[in-house]
Amino acid sequence: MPTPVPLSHMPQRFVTFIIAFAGLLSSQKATALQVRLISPAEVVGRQLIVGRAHCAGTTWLLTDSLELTRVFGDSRIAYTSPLRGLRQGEKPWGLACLANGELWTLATPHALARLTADGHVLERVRLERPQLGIYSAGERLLLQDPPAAVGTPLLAVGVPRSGSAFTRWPAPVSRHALSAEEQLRANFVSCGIGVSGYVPCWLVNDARLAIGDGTPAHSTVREFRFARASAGEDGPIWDVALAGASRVWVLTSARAGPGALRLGGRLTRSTRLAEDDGSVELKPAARLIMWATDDRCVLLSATGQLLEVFAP
Amino acid sequence: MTRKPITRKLILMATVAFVLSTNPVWAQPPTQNQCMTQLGACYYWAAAQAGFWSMWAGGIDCELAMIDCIRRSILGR
Repeated sequence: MPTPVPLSHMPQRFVTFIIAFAGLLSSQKATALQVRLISPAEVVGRQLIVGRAHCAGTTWLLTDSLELTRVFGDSRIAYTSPLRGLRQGEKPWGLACLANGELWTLATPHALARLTADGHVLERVRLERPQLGIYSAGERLLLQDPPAAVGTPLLAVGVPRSGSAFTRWPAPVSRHALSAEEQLRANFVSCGIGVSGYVPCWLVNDARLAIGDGTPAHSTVREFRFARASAGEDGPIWDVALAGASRVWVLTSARAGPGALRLGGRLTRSTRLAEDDGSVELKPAARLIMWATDDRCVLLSATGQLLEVFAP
Repeated sequence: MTRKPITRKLILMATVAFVLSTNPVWAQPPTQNQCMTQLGACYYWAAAQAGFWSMWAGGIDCELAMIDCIRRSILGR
């Protein structure tokens, strides 16, 4: 009769093999991303971009030289128009495009201005209180109030022309600061490109990202630790875009570029659970995200061209 | 007769070389020190306004301008 093999040895080796194989699989989960130039033409020059909005396959950029640029996602063709109809002393800030196609900016802290696609001021709406920022939330506007009491929401959402009928957006909330100047700096909100009514927003010096649709039940705040790990001196998160059901693209490592312009040096493909699904160092660095899908992200580079990041 | 075409070519080449040597200037987002300096100057202007309410309104405008300046320095892309 053949000698039976001791059963105690085989499971141990088998288990060891399974553990090693699982470890190998998990280490390969974060996919290496690649970058390619998809449009050599300069989309925007070296003006400071003061507003970005994306809807219906088009990205809009507002610069401090009072020009409005729209870039079509399918053709990647850019059209630039000067703003017309501004009043003396007006310096528009921010840009929001709504689901119904309306384009809005803050002409002054006290007034919204609706723009046509070629930069004409079509309508003005007086605001009851000064506002610091404007972003899109589906068919509604997100406006940022000056920071008040610590822990209070900084954003309010509503439709234009609705006056005081703006409601609080759950997050982010205002933070404590030691001085008035720090209070302002610590409580500036930035919001990225949203999807299906969900908008990603963050405080400029924070690695926590708030994603929500305006209802407390559908709002989450998570720390994106990979952003803090690669943080620049001015803040971990530089730009964010949501895509699909759970995709989150995060542009980090803001650093000084030419003329002290801040840029993002690393793009990470993540999820709403703040997982790291792969990242890539951007060379040239990027000014902002133009649009994104579940597996691709298009950015505006420091050279004014369009870069595409994708998983091979 | 041959000097004129050569001179024109030299001038043209020099002009092209000059243009190529100049770099377009990046838009300069303001520094926070500049914002605070501008605030100080603006307060000085507001204080010179006639009447209390003009001074008060001027001061508020100064602070809103300062906020805009800091916002551009932090969030401008």
